[in-house]
Amino acid sequence: MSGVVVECRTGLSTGGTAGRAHPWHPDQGDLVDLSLSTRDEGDWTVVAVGGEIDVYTAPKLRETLVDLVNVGRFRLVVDLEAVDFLDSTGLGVLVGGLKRLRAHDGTLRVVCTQERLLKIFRITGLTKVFAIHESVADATAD
Amino acid sequence: MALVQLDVVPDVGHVRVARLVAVSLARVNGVDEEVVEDVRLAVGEACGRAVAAHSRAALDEPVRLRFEGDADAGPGMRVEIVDRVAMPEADGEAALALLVGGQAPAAARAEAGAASAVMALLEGLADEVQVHTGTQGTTVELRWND
Repeated sequence: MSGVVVECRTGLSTGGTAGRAHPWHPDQGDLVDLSLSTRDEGDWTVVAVGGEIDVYTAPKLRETLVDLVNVGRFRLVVDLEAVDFLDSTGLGVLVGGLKRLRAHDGTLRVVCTQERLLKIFRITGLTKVFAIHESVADATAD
Repeated sequence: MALVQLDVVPDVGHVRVARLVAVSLARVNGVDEEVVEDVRLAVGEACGRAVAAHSRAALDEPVRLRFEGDADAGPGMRVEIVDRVAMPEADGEAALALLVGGQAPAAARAEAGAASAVMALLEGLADEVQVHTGTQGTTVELRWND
């Protein structure tokens, strides 16, 4: 079972409006915003996400999902159990991933039991779009 | 009346700072702990939208956040998120429509820049949302009353 771990740190000087010098950059180099690890479980590839998925870190998740589609992994489970924060940009990345996968007759399932995050899926109407499971075992059962 | 003002340079990496400040001030202002998470997300969404608007318009000016509460008078907080991108003059529903830019299915909206998902979240998470657009920019006002 092979795995990949990506850590995205708040290198504020490298993010956002490239080439534009800002007067100050708080030093948050020690804070990990987002962690991503992928592993195969049978036909499924599980993407375990931890930390904060927001407007700054979401591109990293998008990149991971696109890479998986590009290598032919069309059955994905995105495990959000270790996610502390999710915003609309993160939701957009998940929707984009699902669309891409469906073009290959694939699917994207979400693992989430945190009420705080489920509320966000509900408010944006996305509980109708995603199959949301209580565990990775449940999500990969068929 | 405690007033805190925060200028956020238009860099998506700084939206997180706005969220952290919002959470701290919500607690200072006695906002219920269960609602603090709503404040974190809503202020982050509104700030992210404003930062994105500045970036698209190549505006280097900061987005301004104003937090106002009066813990002595009771729990609650008012947050204004102000951007400087010129828009047509509008209030209320008309202003919201300008920001959302048309209607589409939820999934398509969430992917297409998330403007409408942002508004759905603001309305779902804050007790009151007011939007004003104008030539000086857009002001989004969020209120939590307990």
